[in-house]
Amino acid sequence: MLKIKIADIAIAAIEGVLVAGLFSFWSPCPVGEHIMGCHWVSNVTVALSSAVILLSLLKLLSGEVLFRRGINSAVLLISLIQAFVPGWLIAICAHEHMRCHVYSQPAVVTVAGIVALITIGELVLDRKPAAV
Amino acid sequence: MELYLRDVCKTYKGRNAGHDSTASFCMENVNFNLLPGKVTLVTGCSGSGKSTLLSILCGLLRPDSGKVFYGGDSIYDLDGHGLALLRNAKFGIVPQKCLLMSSLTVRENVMLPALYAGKNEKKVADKCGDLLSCLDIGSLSGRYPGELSGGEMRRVCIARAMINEPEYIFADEPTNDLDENGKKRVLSLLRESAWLGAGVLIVSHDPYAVSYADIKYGMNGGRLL
Amino acid sequence: MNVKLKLALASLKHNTARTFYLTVLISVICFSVFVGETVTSGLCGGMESLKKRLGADIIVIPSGKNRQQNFEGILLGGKPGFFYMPNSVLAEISRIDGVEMVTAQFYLASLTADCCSTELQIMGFDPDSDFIVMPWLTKSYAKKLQPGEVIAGSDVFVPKTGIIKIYNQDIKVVGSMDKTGTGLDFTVFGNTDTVKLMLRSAQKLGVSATDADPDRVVSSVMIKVRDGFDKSDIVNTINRTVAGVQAFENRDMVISFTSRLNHMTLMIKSLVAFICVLAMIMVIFVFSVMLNERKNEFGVLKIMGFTVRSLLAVVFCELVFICAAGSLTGVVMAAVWSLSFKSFLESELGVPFLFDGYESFLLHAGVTAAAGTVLSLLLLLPFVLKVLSVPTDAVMRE
Repeated sequence: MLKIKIADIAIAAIEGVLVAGLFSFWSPCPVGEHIMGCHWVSNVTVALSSAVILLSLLKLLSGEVLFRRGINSAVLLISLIQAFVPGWLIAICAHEHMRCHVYSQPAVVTVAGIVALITIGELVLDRKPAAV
Repeated sequence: MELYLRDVCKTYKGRNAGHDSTASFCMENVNFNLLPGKVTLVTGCSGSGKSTLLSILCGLLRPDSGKVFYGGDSIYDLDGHGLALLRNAKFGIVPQKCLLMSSLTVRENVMLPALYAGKNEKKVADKCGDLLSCLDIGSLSGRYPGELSGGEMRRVCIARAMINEPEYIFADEPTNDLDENGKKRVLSLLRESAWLGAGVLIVSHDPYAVSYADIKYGMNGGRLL
Repeated sequence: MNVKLKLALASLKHNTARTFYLTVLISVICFSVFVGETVTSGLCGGMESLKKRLGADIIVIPSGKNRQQNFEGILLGGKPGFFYMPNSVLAEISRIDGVEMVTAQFYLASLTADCCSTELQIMGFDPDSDFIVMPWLTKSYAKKLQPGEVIAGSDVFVPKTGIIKIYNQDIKVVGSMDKTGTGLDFTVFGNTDTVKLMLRSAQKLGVSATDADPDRVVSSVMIKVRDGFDKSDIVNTINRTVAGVQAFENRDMVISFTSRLNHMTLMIKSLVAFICVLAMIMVIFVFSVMLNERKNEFGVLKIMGFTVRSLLAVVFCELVFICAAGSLTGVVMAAVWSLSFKSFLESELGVPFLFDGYESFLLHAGVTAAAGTVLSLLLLLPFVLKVLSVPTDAVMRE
């Protein structure tokens, strides 16, 4: 179904924007004398986003409903974990007005939330085999 | 308990009057008794008033004048709530348009009136199984209405009408969409119910139903013949 | 399980797409309302907080282009700044008729050391004459501030040692203020002597943007007007007679802030209202279509003997599930979004923003979810009643 393919492409695109952002406008503090927690947050987030992008692209190739459901479940799980990376799984700056709190964390949580919602929608609505 | 009409009149414009929207349909001073333990057949061409008679008799359509008595009381003196409870407890109705709840399975559809009446679920389930087997649709119990043919849906409707062991059964064109075997099963089941004491009213223009009826009426232009 | 509840759940489960879309639409409504409420209450809270801390009737600062904006930036958005005027203006202003109290303040801005530090505003006050800062500073630290001691705003990062280094001076932080949602959260407050020490140190290091003698300058003068005197007259007198300064009423500044705030809240509320109306129209449309499709099903249930009350209960159950699920989802998403963007809103809006306490936040969340559920139900009920009143006999005929 065209709608499902658009959703997959949207997920890949949104995660791509997040990765691009983490290397530019909402990048963490640069590595200096010591490595800040936000550096590791960025690395882990980029890795998880890459996994989501690859899984979404893989899903585009298959018409099997069960296969797509499996991928969707994995993407949902990864995006939920991704939302908890900055600040919970990996501690970031104590100062609430540093870049990691003001830009990086909201960006990661927003993107992870959007991806999770799209994926939940796909899991609920995707019952028919996709037209190949 | 007895069920009968006295001096019932019903008039409405446009419907059941051919394709002429200015013509009016009229049922005038109709008297009718539905006897328990008998299969009563009302035949007639399309638009003669058979379905109207059935609807009035089972409490679905209020007549303009006249009364419908059940157990000596006029059923239309009851409010909508009372009529609904009467239908659930005492009547089983098979509408002409076979409609099932699309979100329930065949089994759940059939059991619904009985569960609503508060009967024991296990007993109802057993009864449901028996009815579905009698109608040769036992294998369809787990399916949804969207997966059934017209004939299968009609048989499910009939099973649903009979699940509560009603005193009176009203069937509007019960043999539509059925093959010969299906017609035999349905009509036999209705006749069995009559033997067990239920009053059965079949409204149909199918000649196959004639041989299963104990009492036959014709209907033309709103008049019983 | 009750047969009506079973019927409702079966209908929801069977029509997953419809249930999903309705839930999403209702969650969009609740999300917008809750986020709008969080942001507008934060803006109002910040404004109230600022008003409480502006104790002066008249403020006097050096004249110059954008000077008033600089001053507002210090108060509102935590944009550190500094400016100076000769301290002789203090004596001149004290002589004006109607001036009851005057006190001077001294401003300085720190440097940003690296990515992990932020520019701080440093505010010095005269403990002998001050009537602005002391009333609320004493809540955090009741003793007299000694030279080299400061009280830090709530968002100033203080290491565990309690010592911060400003222009190579070790400054001891003896207390921390409550959050105000204004630029004062990024400010450290000390005696004028302490701040002058920092300025001298900056000048010695060669990093100061001014070579003014700290003992001969002040940054601003705060004035309390005697009762019975017209504040605007005194402002005019100061602007006319004291060279090199500009005076303005505190009230004018507040009105200007409030006007900006009102514009912002109006924009937010308009946007929220627009989204809600749009979503509600779609909910009504989807729901009406859904009910019309099920008209025959309701008719069949009536034929079976379901009373109108029972049918209402079935549809009501479905609605409650959808509305409650939608409201809760919307509110939870809004809560997560608000908490994630709290720091962004506080630092980037450029206006005072004071986030509600967590208890108040949760209370708002609960009220929004409950109100969302109830209002959605009330909105959709007329359509339900209309469909259920269709005559049953219509189902009997083709």
